Amino acid sequence: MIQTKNLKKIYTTEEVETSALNQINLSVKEGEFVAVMGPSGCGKSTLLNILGLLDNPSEGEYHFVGHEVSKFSERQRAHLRKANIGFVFQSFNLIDELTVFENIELPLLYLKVGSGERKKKVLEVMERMQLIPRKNHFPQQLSGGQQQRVAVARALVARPKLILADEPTGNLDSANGDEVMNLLSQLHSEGTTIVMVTHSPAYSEFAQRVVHLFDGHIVTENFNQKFHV
Amino acid sequence: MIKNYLLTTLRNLKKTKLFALINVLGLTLGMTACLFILYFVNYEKSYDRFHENSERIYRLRYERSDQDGQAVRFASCCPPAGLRIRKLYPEVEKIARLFRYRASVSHAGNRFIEERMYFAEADFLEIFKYEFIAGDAPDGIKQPNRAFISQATAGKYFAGKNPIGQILAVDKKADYQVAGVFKDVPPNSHLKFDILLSYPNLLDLYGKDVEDSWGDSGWFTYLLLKPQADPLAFEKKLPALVDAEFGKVLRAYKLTCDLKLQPLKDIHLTSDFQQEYEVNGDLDTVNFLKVIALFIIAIAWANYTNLSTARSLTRAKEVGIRKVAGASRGQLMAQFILETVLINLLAMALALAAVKLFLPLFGQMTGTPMAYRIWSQQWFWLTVLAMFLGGIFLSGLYPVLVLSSFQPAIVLKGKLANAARGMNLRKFLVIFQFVMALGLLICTFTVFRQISFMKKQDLGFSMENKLVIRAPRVRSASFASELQTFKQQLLKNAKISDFCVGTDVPGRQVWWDAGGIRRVGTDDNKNYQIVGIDYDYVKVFGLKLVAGRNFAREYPADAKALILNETAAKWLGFQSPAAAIGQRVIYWDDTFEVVGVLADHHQQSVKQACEPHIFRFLPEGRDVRGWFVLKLNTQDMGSTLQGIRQLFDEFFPDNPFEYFFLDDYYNQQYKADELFGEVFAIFSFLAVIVTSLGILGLSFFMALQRTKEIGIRKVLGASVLRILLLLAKDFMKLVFISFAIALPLSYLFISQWLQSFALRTDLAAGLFLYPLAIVSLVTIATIGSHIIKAAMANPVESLRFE
Repeated sequence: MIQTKNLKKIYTTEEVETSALNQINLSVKEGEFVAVMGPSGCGKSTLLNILGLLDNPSEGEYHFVGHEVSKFSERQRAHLRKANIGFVFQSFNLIDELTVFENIELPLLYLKVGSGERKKKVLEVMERMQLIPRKNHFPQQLSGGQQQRVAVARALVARPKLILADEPTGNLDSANGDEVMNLLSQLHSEGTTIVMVTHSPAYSEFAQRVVHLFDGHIVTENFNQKFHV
Repeated sequence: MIKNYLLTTLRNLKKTKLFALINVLGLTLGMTACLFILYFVNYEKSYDRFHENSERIYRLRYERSDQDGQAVRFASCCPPAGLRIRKLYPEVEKIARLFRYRASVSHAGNRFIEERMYFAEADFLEIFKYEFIAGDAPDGIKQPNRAFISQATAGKYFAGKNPIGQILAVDKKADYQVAGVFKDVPPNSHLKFDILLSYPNLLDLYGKDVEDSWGDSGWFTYLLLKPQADPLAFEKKLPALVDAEFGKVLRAYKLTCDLKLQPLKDIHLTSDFQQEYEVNGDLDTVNFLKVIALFIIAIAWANYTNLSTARSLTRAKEVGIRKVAGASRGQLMAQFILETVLINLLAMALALAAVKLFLPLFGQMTGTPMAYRIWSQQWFWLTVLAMFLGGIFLSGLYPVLVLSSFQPAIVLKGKLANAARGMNLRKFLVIFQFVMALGLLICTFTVFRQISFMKKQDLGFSMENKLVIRAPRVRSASFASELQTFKQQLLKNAKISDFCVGTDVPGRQVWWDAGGIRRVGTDDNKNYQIVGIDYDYVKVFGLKLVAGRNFAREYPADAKALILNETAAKWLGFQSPAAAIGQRVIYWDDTFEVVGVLADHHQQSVKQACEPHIFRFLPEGRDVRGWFVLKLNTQDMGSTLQGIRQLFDEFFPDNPFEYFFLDDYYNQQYKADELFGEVFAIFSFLAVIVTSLGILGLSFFMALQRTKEIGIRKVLGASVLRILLLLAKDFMKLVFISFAIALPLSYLFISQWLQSFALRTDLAAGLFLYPLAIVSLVTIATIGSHIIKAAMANPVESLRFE
């Protein structure tokens, strides 16, 4: 599903050139759960942004579901993104002015799904995430864990092939963190491809494979024994 | 989708109430101000356009110049020109002449002085199609002794009765039968009349030869050109006509005379000549106001752009999320355009409500009548639409572009580097607003300073405690002796200290203008303004003699004596006032002796330079024209006035008692300038408010953007005061840059404006420094509160952003 070849990302300011990613060769198969780890500033988020089609690499190739997308325009990327990728962030990133239902509904709106079907799908995913009682609440009225459940529900609602999670537990206490990880793990077991950035060795255990980044390079790739018996 | 956009917008507006309020308020103020200005402007431009053939109607006017190029320019024409043109030029479809006749008109017990009464030729009602509601116009006006009256006039004289067939007595000399009633002439006509009288009666009144003189004026002449006629080509034929008819006389007196065509629809805004029916509008003012309207709406739009882009900081996250959720840039643009539409719609609705609410007040202030229905004007709705669309595109486009361009990868991390873009545009917009606000304030200060300067000038005559009464028009054969007795009776009253008679009083344009006057022994004919006075006029008005003497009873030959003012003495070619004394002057083929020279006084507003006046001894006025002037020494106006009125009615029973106080009357001349000043004051006040709203937005943005910097500085030991100064400095810099731009621009403008005054105030530094101080204070007050908040905030709060 994902294949990168010699991926490079260079940030240039007036005087300094910073290389955020260097020679990244990574492939993720359909249905795989990959965790990306590494210290602050190693390029984890940059990688995730590129994989999520939020940003273009400076060099190299990126094949996503059969398309070479590294030179795609913003419009092309947006088009591919909305049908295929769901995002979960550390800071939840819900729209404060929209209710739980409306936040979850958002991707379906942009996919121009009809209102009847939209409602059905949103309620389905809400039920699954046990959010029905919170339907008309606004984000500020929810706990952190609940907010992240909404964010996951939103990432899921359009049934994307890939879920990208950027430190999804970073702002949560351990109980809520566990709950979110169990959710992701459940999604994985149902066949969703997941790439997750995390600082937590414990949560990286949920992934089949852990990729370690350091200074923009992939330094090691470990396979989780749990999944390879 | 739209529902989602709407919900977000409404909840967003609710959440950021202050921003929403400022944004909507700024736009509302701008739109309201703009609509009001355009209301005034369009009303002024609507004059005379309602006539069916307004494109083809012209007024013919008359100018006479002497060999030095000194010219008298009349709004009216000489009487025979119309007659000859009617016979000679086929391109003229119709031509009609009007002659203004102020008179005392009575019916039964109702008696009024009619100021807006004209003898009108029959074709007048063919050229201008006024709507008649009763009677047989226009044919009836061909008959002698017919009157056509307005609806209001009908109500005044014949309340409840059918006016047709009723009799109006004019000056008790002639009776006119009412033959038609027309709808009141719309207020946006340069020519407003209440009564039209059959033209043939004018000839009965003054004799047939009154129409013969090419040197006379006072016949307002209108012509309707045929559709294919070229007005310029026609106008070029007129000098030949003048030469054929009047050339000999003109050459003998070394004068020239021109006939000019004025397009009907230009008269109100461009015509300022002698004998106009009323003071016309001013094209310069109208054009200037149009520019102000544009500036004000531009200020409001700049505000919107400024506030919206500043607010984009707080919207960045939403944009990021929506993009991540699959929104395309186009969809985001649609969302933000919808927002702009909503805000503009709201502002427009409020602006329309404000127009409705304040229209009567504005109308009263500017003299625009309610009869001019703003809501049914095409321009009004076109302007509303243009303002709405313009607002969306000009003010909304940039914020929409900025907002929709945010990169989710960046904004979702809470980095706002991207939003700093556009800072220069925002600064530019604020400078633009400051320049406008400063410019308008400087102009306001100048206008008021000039008005107060003019009011403080020594006018050369005294106008305090002068009661002016219109002299009776209906007079008996023994009028002269009645007048003497009337005067004696008045002066018995201790509250009346003096009395005099004059054909005109200071403060009124001198109506009597005579040409062909020259010093004996020269052939330099010029036009002079003639005032007929009695023995006491000079004393009553406190005019100063600089040479010679006043008219006096011990000189029985004074009927053939003249008193000049200094300007007239100069125009007649005398080296000094004293040199004029005893000299002789040819006045209409008669010889007069100069017995005195008076210091110049400002007959009208000090706006105008002093004109050449010649005073003649006419103790009973001229014909029926004249004024009685009473000098009062009492505060008890009510009962004094009552007594004077009783006496007047007793002596001159067939005349209405009409009076005014000279100081009130004189100061009315400044009404137009005061209005100009008030309009300036109001709109500069609005501009300052809207600008301060813009500064509020910008300072909010700056404080937000510099939160981290403020935090770091505080951690490093900066005091709150230092941070305040740091932030305030940025704004004061903008104020001073704006001042540097506004100073030369407004200097140029106000010097130009002051050129139209004969006496001008000096351009004191305060005119420029007060506005600077006001704008600086408003700026500091506006930005103060949230700069202080930002400066006082706990540095931990601001640094946690990263």
